[in-house]
Amino acid sequence: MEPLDLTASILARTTGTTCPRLRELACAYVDGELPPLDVQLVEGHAAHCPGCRATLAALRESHARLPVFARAEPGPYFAARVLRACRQTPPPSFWARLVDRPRMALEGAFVGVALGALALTGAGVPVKPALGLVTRGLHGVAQVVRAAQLHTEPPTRSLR
Amino acid sequence: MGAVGSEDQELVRRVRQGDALAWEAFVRLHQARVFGLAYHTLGHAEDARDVTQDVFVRLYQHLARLPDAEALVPWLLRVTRNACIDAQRRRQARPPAWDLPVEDVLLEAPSELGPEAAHEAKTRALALYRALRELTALNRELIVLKEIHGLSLEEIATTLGVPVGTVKSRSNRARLELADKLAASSWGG
Repeated sequence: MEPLDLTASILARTTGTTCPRLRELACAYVDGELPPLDVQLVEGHAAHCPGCRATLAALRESHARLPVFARAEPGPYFAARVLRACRQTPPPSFWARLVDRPRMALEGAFVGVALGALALTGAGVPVKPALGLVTRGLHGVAQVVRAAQLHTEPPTRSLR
Repeated sequence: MGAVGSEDQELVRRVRQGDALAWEAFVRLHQARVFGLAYHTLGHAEDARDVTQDVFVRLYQHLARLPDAEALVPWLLRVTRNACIDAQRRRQARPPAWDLPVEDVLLEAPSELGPEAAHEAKTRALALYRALRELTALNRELIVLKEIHGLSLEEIATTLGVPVGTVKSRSNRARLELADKLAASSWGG
């Protein structure tokens, strides 16, 4: 009896087929994310299993070749069509562009805090507490601005 | 995603400022990627052209919201994907036609190969393309975003609005389904 058959016979009476376990590791193996022992185990199984060998080869090939499909040709005059459509679209008004700026509201809050500080000092509030209040206010606004920058969403329903 | 150079940064800055030539260069630079995603999502060339045009026109109306160059491509892909979903909602459901000539999908044939090797590479790429078209829409979307456009798991999770772990397990299943279809084809031998 061949050693392969002996192994298969033992597996049949113990764990059953080990192909499902290889499939769990296959993508990480192809991506080079497995620790050395797992790499050895995967390669050891694949050496004796034509089906898993073919799966690993197909995974490797598809991983290498799929990026060629990232771009497709929309046609020779497509850019001109897009530029024409843009020209025919009325440009947004000054106010629309201003409001469209994602940080507009936060910048407004920033200015508001600064004006509030001026008003406080103008109303006779002692300078030191007013300055502390303003510093905390500006710090808070700056934090919100930074968070908003990280989560800026594209505009409009279609461009969300 | 690939590295972003200072020229890309400058182009985005000029586009934001409303430079018409920079806008034209921007459209020419990104239209094939936007169209590619729209076509692989919708499966109809003219629908994909409409979505691509719509994406750029709306972008043109909101140039101030264009993100910085390093975040641009994932953002553009997310915008395109959402525009595709809107388009699918507007029209009646119909199966993909895959009516774009293969030459227009296979734009980046390796030029350094000899004729025989180039022919072999093209044959294999076509087998891969056929297998890709046979996937379910969900699995194809994951393959398109991760394997074709190279988005990270985190970027895909943001795009799809699901946890990273879910993206990882689903994308592994999709990759295995694609590999099985390939292995079962004559190419897989």
